[in-house]
Amino acid sequence: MENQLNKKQAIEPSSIRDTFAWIEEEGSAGRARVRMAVRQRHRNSESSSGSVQGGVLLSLADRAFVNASNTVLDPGYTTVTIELKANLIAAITEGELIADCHLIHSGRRLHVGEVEVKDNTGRLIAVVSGTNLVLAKR
Amino acid sequence: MVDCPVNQRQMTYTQAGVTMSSQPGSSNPSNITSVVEMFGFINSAQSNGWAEVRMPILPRHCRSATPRSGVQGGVIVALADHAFVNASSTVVQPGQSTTTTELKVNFIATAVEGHLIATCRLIHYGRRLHVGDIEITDGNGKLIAKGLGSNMVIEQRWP
Repeated sequence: MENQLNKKQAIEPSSIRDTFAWIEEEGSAGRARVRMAVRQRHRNSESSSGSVQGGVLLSLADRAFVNASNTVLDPGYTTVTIELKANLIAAITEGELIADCHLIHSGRRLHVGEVEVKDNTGRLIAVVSGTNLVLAKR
Repeated sequence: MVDCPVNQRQMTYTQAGVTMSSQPGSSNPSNITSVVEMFGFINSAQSNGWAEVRMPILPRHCRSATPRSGVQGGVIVALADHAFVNASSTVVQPGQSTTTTELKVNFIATAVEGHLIATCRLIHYGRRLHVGDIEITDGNGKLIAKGLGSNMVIEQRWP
């Protein structure tokens, strides 16, 4: 699947989903997991110490958050992220990133979520919390 | 905001734009060597404690393949982080660099086309920590997002 995405990307990625080749997993109500492989293009520099840029971690976390929100939404509603805050705890230069989101509040108007981003060895890379606004689809 | 003459900003941007056009989005992704190239960040201006970064809005930045779906939140944070690190780099001593330890962004409006411009001003730069105030606007000056973050100063381990 990743190869297909990479081929598509070689033409021109049609959305942020293709840009990062995210692997999205179904979760139980209020939970979601998104994984991605670390590539050179996600890193700050080509040197061996060039780590994954903070915004790349936030993109991944935001995706997991929106997916978690979608698991509890009624049909005809969508969400939009209005606020995200991250603590970046460790640097990562290679391997896989795994973002696990759980909603700590899912009200009629707002969802509050917490995302833990870890690498494939279980090391904590970042903790992200955010707020999603619930909107009726137009 | 630390003053930076408007004509100087535009000149830097045009020069950077030439570099940008030589790395089109259709390049093989395996050749993309950094996040700066992937997102198409352009360091358009910086001065003491202040930096501006621009990014053209491309389909690869957007939430879905639907037209006018808007730039994904994380991409806006990536742009904000880049402006913050650039602003920090203008005030660190030789042999030092910074790493972002914390960043919070409020998203105010959707950006669907044109450019995004992130402007960061350091509101504190001490020996150990920098605190940066970041504004992200679109090409018309409309406020898209607002950020506040902390950078930690580190001694470079490599030459």
